[in-house]
Amino acid sequence: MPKEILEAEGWLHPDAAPVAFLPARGFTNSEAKKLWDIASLADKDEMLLAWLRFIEPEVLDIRYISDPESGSDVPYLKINGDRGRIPLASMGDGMTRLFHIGLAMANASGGILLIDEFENGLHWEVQKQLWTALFEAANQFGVQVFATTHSNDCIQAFVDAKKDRLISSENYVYRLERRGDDIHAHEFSLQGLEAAIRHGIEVR
Amino acid sequence: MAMNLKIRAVSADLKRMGKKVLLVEGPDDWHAFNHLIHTATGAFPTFELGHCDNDDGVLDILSGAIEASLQTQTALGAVLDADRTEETSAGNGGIQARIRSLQGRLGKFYSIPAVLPAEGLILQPTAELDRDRLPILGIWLMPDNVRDGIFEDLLRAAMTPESERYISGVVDQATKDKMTGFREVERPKAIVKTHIAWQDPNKKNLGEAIGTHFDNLIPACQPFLDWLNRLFSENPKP
Repeated sequence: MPKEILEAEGWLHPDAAPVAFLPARGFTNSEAKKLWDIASLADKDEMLLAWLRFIEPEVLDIRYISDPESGSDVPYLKINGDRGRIPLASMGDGMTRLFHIGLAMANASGGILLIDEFENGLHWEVQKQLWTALFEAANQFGVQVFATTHSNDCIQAFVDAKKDRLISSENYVYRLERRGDDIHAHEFSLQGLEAAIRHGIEVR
Repeated sequence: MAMNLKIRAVSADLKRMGKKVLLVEGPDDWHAFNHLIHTATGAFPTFELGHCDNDDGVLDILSGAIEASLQTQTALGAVLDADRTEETSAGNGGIQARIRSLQGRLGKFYSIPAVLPAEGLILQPTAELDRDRLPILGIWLMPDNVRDGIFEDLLRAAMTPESERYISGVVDQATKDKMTGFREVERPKAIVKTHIAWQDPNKKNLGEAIGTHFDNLIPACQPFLDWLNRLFSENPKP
């Protein structure tokens, strides 16, 4: 949720660190466009391209162009070796999700990024790399990331990345548990979580 | 009534198992404990047994279950040998090493003491907050929670003293005469299996022989059976 809305609702002090929220459904096109403009003005578009190259290494450029049919501005990519530009949306859900994560990250510099259902649209095979890239970007931008998931594959990917020391030991998995009227955050140990996954014990 | 020996030992699958589960090391243990309980009570266990392939498997499943459990089990027991063996990830054997590895794996949620009570350990989770989530935990270290050893050491006590003395003597003499190939840590197994072979050479496994060839079975195993009873009763008493 953009900071202005949080402030308008009185949920956020104007001096508070920036907070970006990426919903499970992703951003609408107009939300994404607005975030892109803010990031571009702040000279963060290069970083966003680097982020997209994580899935498509040949991305050269991204630009919002008016869609001939709907008339609204949509993102088009220029890919090395291809002629012309292709709509980002034509490159699969994973690419759009990646773009949205990058947009949210760029707009959370020095603050907090909340991602709902991290794995949405992302193939399980890239999730381990993506966790790694996410925390690298978080370090670069000084962002603390909170990501939720209901996916075992996604948890497994996080554990694999942490076990292989691709992400720092300062990243944790918590399970939110209902305890009567309260919600309790249970912190998993890496060893216990790994053992549970290995033996098919439900961790969700 | 003899149990059906054709059934296969059930591996531990906590997601599918019931509220009361006993984890044991291997398939042989699974058969042996089922037969022991059946011999002692004339009935099948009131809880489910699951084998974990080996001792590391018990520790691994136990730590995974305790970490992730959401009221999955109400009572969870584990039977482990406390033998001095070659080095494993679980430590280099012996009861002290075994207790240390349990403390390392489970100490975040249960206060495992440095010395176990001889009647077996039964614990509530340490934190009040965890009591809804986590099971009552039971630990039995073979043979008696005090000495280094294995299940077969308990079965040696279940033989008549004359048999045990005689067969131990024969096994030791055979070792001295260089007629044996087992390692020192396997001596209790050699004694128990020799005893079984001499009673009925056709009995293939421990489980099959437990009900028939151990005259002092119930008295020798009573503390262990009592621990199972307390752990899996309606109101376990830590």
